[in-house]
Amino acid sequence: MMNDVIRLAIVGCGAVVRHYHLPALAGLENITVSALCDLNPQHAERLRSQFRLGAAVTDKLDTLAGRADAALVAVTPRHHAAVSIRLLEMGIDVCCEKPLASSSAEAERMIEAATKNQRQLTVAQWCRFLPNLPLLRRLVLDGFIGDVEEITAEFGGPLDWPMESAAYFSRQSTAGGVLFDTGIHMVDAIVWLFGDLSDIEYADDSYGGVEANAELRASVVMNGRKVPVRFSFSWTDLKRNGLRVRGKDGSAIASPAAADLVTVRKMAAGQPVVMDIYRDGWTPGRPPTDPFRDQLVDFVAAVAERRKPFVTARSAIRALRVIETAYSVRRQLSQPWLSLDPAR
Amino acid sequence: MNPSKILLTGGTGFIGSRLCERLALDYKLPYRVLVRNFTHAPRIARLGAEMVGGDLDDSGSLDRALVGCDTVVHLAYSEGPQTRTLVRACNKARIKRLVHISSIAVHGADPGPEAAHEATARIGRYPGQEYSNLKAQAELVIQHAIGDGLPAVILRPTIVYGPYGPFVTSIVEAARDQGVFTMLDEGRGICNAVYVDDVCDAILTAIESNEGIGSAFFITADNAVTWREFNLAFAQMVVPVPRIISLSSEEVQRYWASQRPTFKSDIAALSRLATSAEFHRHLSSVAMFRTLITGGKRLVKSVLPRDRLTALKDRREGPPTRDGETARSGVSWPDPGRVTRECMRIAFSNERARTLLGWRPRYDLPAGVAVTRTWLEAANMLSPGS
Repeated sequence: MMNDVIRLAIVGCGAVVRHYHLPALAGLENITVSALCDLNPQHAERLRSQFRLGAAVTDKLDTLAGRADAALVAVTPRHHAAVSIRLLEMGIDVCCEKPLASSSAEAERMIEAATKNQRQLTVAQWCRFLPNLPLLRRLVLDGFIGDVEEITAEFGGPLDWPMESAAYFSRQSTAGGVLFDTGIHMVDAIVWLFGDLSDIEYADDSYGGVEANAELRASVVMNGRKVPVRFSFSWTDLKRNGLRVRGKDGSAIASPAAADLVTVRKMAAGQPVVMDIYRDGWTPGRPPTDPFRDQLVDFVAAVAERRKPFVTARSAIRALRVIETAYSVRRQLSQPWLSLDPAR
Repeated sequence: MNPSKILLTGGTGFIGSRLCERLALDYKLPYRVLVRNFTHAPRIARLGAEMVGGDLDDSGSLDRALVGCDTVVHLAYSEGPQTRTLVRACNKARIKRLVHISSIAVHGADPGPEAAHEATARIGRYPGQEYSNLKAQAELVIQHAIGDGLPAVILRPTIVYGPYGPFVTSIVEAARDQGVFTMLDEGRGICNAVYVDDVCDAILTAIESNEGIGSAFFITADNAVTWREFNLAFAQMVVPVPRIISLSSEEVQRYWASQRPTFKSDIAALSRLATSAEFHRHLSSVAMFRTLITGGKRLVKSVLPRDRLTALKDRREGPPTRDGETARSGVSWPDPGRVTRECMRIAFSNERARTLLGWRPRYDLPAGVAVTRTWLEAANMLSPGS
């Protein structure tokens, strides 16, 4: 490693950086924010002042050469690929905000650039750092709830993401709505835990704009059997955030809000019981796992030790492909209340 | 008139979002939405709605938003000065039609029988009724502008309900989350309900027809219902069906009156604040106060025995309370706004809107409830596990 302390450039100084990345970075010792880059320098200045950073402020990507060892890319998704590739070519390791790219083809080009320039490329799929997900997988595959009958994954609620323009909803800035932006977490988690999805059916509520509600159905093969998977995502309605696996003998639930445990409901001693099963090394009262912080710790370690990050770009492409397929088979989501028929 | 483009204020709210859906999917008219907070815009973003940032406090943003528009539908909550800013911008842009969405609240919380018809309904000042006063103030600004020649129509919708409507969600959430629903005065109050699509139709009619310019119209269903009918229609959709308990409006009003701040309660609150750990923590971020607080605490600890310290702490914190819960039921007290709404004694007439504008409501309560139910089911709102 060129320096003992990793110099990090932040490219794109919007809400996710202000609300999540910079607060998480504040607790890390072997990293310093060396540059803040945004097309609107006022956004960068605002972050520098708010977090009292000694970082240089720039609106030109090329000026980061020699100023940064690694970069956090948090520009709008349509620009993830172009910006990341340019940084990789400058010899800078990249942690890119999710979704990795607007398409799997773009993602492939990013991976190619990382390989060619021998740089690390990861994506901020923070759900991969939830310790209850691998625990859920082990419980399910060990047969703790019997043969799996269905997997459901829900994510969403009335949107509360701070935004200063309509860019979040603009197809010039993003490749989709709630499925692409929010659903990517759960799709990535299922693919990572249980394997690739097939038989994809998809419906959303877009009428020309980006969807606010999305329903995805698919299958995954478990123990040689196809198991149905249902996803439901929303920017308007409150969802049961998490993964539920229903088996013949019970159900298991892993929620991002309770990162260190899996809740199992099954029959035991002749009666229905509810069990909270903690991950190894954690008990109630101890601080919960902070997956957002852990993904940055992993990226910093990958940069420092020149090792692969926990979430490789290659592994993240699988979820992107599911989303591409979903959009290609899209149907209109049924919303009977939009009908004008008072006799309904 | 046929609008060339309609500017909506308040287009991300309950009525505004539905109006955008109708404009895009049914009326097929060009429109633009002035958006103050894009976070609230996903429902209209899915329509590909044209959105421009700005608000009623920023006349420059209004001027920019009005470029190319000849019609304005003003749904946003605005006070007098903001309404005046809007009127100025409309005049500057030579707007051909302004539809101002007012409210029956302009006649006060407890209007008399004269308020049932627009011709005899008066707008006044209402001591202690902030919402009514603000709505009245905004409408009076529009009425004054009409006097000065602004081609505006005023619509006063009653209790607007439908998918995403706050009246519906508050009933369902209370019934679902508490398993109990409170009925005020056994639900005898008059509920002037109107389905949201009927309001959208009234807005379109107010744009298209020239007969309404300069007038105000009540927009309500043909027949009023009781609050019992309205509340139960939604509360009883919830599974399991909630227990219904009755409270008198006087009892609820007495409770809220007892919660009003007094000199004594202000002193008690100040004392709680001054001794709260959270307040000390924030104050301690200033070095000078940190020294004072630490020194003071050390001094108190050194002079008072431990049991006396514990007693003081207990006294400061007071006994555990279930703030906001009714003593006998364990459910939340209905908020004062609900009491005001559900003690309504008159049914508003839609006769003027029917005869002058040619508008007809298409939904009675059962029809509106049936459509709303499809949304509640799709949103998984009807059972606690959802």
